Amino acid sequence: MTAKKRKSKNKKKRPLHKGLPFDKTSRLVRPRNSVNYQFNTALPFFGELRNLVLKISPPSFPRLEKSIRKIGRLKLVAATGVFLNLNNSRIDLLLIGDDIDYKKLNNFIKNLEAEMGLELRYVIMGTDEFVYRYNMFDRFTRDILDSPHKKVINKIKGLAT
Amino acid sequence: MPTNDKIIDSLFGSKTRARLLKIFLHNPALSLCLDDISAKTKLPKNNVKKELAALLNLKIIKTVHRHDRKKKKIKK
Repeated sequence: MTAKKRKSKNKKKRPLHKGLPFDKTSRLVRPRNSVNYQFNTALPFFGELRNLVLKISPPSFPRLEKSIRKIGRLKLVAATGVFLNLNNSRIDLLLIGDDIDYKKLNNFIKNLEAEMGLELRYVIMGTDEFVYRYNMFDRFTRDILDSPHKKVINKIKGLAT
Repeated sequence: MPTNDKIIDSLFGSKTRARLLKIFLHNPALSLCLDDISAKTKLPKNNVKKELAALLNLKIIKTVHRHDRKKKKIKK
């Protein structure tokens, strides 16, 4: 018997009835009486505070543009929804471009979500696909570009700024 | 002119506190535990813990015990 084998045989096994090892980071194994936090909606100025925070929370567009450029060759970036405080929009961010680094994109979205405190709804499309869709009057792209939005980047010819 | 995010950060005292308020005010019905909050805001747990305690003191945030939700009645 080699030393390695002996070592593994001598290793104590955790008895099954004692349960899984406690792991703080795991979502499945968590102490049962851990505390959750929630906003106290009984506050008298809850509505006012909410309006204040939601109204000033969208990040500034120049800064957004700066970080968005690193993702890839983006042709069009349009911000709607939460960026303009619109409630009934389909998406929040439209990204059109090629050679997109999905790792960077993911990171960018995660950071933005962390900063804004909500989940963003975003669409990413290739330039060809977007041009095709736009020219055939695709409902989805037309809806976004007809509703109020702010073009952070616009390099597509023949599209109004 | 300072940007919106800078205004909100310094108005509430810290970046952590501003982000906490944002996440809670965007979804008031949602209850989150410390791990989730720190993951969602991308902030270290220690800071989050400290700010949560401050907000709890002000009664802006309330605690919900997790096992309260498990006491669901089972219909027979």
